[in-house]
Amino acid sequence: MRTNIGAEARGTAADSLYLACGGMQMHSSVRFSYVRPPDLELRQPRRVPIVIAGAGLVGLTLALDLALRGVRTIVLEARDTLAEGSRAIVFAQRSIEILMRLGLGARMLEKGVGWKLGRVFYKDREAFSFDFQSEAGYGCPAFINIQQSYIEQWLVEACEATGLVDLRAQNRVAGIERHAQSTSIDVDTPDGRYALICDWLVACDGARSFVRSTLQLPLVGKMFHDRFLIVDVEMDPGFSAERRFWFDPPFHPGHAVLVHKQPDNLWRVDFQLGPDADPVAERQPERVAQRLRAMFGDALPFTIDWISVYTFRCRRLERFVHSRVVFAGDSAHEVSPFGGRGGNGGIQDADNLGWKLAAIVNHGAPASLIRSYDEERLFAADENILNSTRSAHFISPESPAVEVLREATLRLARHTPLGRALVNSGRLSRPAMLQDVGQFGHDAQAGALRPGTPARDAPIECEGQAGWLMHYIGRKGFTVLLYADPAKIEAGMFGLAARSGPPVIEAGTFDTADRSGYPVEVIVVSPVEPRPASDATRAMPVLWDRQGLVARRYGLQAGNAVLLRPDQHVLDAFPAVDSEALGAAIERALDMCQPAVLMEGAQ
Amino acid sequence: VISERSPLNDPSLAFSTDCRLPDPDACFTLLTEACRDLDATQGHLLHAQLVLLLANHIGDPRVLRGAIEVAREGLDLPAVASVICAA
Repeated sequence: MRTNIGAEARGTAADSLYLACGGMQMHSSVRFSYVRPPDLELRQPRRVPIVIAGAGLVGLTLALDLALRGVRTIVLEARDTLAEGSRAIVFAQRSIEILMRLGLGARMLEKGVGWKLGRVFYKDREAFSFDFQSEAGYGCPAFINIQQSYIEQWLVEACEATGLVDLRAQNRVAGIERHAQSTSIDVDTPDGRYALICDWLVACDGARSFVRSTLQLPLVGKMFHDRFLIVDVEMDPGFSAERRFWFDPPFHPGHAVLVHKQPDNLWRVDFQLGPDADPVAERQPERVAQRLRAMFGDALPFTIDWISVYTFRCRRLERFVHSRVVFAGDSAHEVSPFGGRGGNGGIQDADNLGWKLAAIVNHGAPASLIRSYDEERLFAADENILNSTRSAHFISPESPAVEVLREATLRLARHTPLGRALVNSGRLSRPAMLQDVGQFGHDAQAGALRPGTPARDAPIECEGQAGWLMHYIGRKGFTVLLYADPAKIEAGMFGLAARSGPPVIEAGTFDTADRSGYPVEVIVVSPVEPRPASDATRAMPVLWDRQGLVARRYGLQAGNAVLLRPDQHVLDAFPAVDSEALGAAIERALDMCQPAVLMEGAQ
Repeated sequence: VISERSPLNDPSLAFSTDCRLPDPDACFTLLTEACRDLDATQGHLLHAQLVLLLANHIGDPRVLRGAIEVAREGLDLPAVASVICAA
C-alpha cells in the first residue's frame, strides 16, 4: 500500500490508493537513477559540509537554493522516484516568489492554474465569495495550483544543472550519531552500507521523519480524528479556477467538501467523512464514484486518478535545531491541509535556512547564525499551527454546542460582513511577518515597511521595459534598495565610494569581502524617469518607480534606503544611505559583529 | 459606539454585571418576543447569532471573556482554562 499526503498541502496521510487508469497518467513517477556511491569504496568516511535527508519539496528547494549560492550538498533519498499523488497543490504567492527566485517561475506560471477567488457555499447556495488579491500590481498571482510532483521534477532538473547537488536515490539514512560539531550518518544502498560525516544534517524527510524518530525528539500539539477523503479526478465540471468550499451541501449532508482545479484537466475533491468513517470502505473506487456522481450528476464523465483517506495533526518539534541537526518542513511541523500551510511553510523554511547555511559554510559566519532560523521558523510554524488548528475546529465542530455556534455563523455569513469574517473554511497561507523575532527588531523608521516583512512586489520599468521589483530582490544576496533619482547620485555621495575600508560600493555591489564576502547588490529605484546612467550608477540596476507603488508599499521617500536579507525579508530601513550603518546591519545579520572576546569563546 | 465604562477604555475595569438597562423588563420582553415562536433548534441558532452580533458590536474580546466566565458560572462550570484568542 502506498502512502500519500493529501489536500491543499501536506496533511498526514492515511492509506491511499493510486489508480493506474489507462491512457494519461497524471502523476508521473520521475525516476532518479541510482548510481553506486563512491563512498562505498572509502575506508574512512568522507566529511562534507551539508547533507540533506529527503528529496521532497523542501529538501530539493533547499538544495537548489544552496547550489545557487555556490554550496555543494549531498541529498539522500530512500526512494528512486518522486512521491506519487498530487499532495500539495496550492502554492501561495510567497512560495511562487521564492521558486521564481530559484528560476522556476516561468514554468510555474505557464503550467499552473492561477486563482485568487474563494467561494463558500452553505447548504444549497453560495454564501459569499472573497478575493485573496484585491490589489493589483503584483507579478505573481495570489495562488497557483499545481501538483507538487511537477515542482519536484523541475527542482531535480535545476539541481542537476548546477552540478553542485549530489542527489542520491535509493540511499536510505539508516543511522545517525550526533557529535558536538558534526553528525555521522550511516547510509544503506542496494550495494551495501557506507558512512558520511557532515557539519550539518538537514532533515527534510517528512512527517514520518527517520531522523526525528532516531533522535527521539517529541512532537507537541494536537491530533484530529475527523477523516477526510481526497480524490483527484479527471473531468470537466465547467467550474472556473476558484477555490470552492461547501458546508453541509445537499450532495454530502452534514459534512464539508472542498474543490480545487489543477493542471491537466485534473480536479482535487476533498470530502469530509467524520471520525467514524471506515477508511478501507471509503477508499473503494465505486464508493468514491458514487460520491462524485452525487456531487456532479450522473451525466458528467470522469476518471478517478488518485484516492486517499487521511486524518491530520497540528503539531511541531519543540526546537528545529538540535546542535548540528536542523529540521525543515513536515519533519519539523505538521498542520491540517486546510490553508495550504504545509508545503508553503516548508518552502519558507528552506528560504530562511539556505542563505544562513551558505554564510556559515562559505563565508565564515559563526554556527550561532542558525539560531535565528530556529527562532524565526518556530514563530512561523506556530502561526501556521494556530491558523490551521482554528480552521480544523471550525470545519470539524467538536460538540453539538459548537455546531450551533458554527451554524449561526454560517447563517450570518449570507447577509453580514461579520459572518463572512467569522466563517473559517481554511485561512490560506500568508507569509509570516517576522516581527520582534530572530534577527528582526521592532524599531522601524516611521512609515517604512517594518523589519521582518517579506519584500513586496511592485511594477517597475527598467531601460524602457516593464518588469517587477521582486525579480531584483535577493538575486545575489543582500539587497539595498536605494530610492533616489540616479542623476543626484554621484561618486562619493552618501559617503558610499569614498570611504576607506569596507564596506564600499564597487561595481554595483556593496562589498564586504574582507569580512565575509557575502554578496550585496545595490538597486537604485528612481521616483522620476531615469536619465542615462552617470558614472556613479553605471554598474547598478536603475528601476523606474513609474506608478509610485514601490514608494507606497515600502513607505519610501527620496534618499531613503531599504536593506533586505537574501531571503527577501526587510532587515531595516534607513532615512539616508549610510555605508557604515548598512555594513553594520549586514554584519549583524551574518552574526559577525560580536565583540572580539565573545568571538574567541564562541564555537 | 463603545460605552465609557467599557474595559476597552479602562482595562482594569472588571466585567460589569450590575444592571445597566434603563428598562430591564422591556429588554427581556424584546428577547422573548424574538424567540417565542421558535423550536429548540431555531432558538439555539437565534441565541447564538445574537451572541456573535453583540460580541462584534462590543468589539472587545476582553468583554466577551468576562461574559463567558459569568455565563459558565451560571452553569456551575469552571472558567475556560486557555482560550486561543488574540485579545
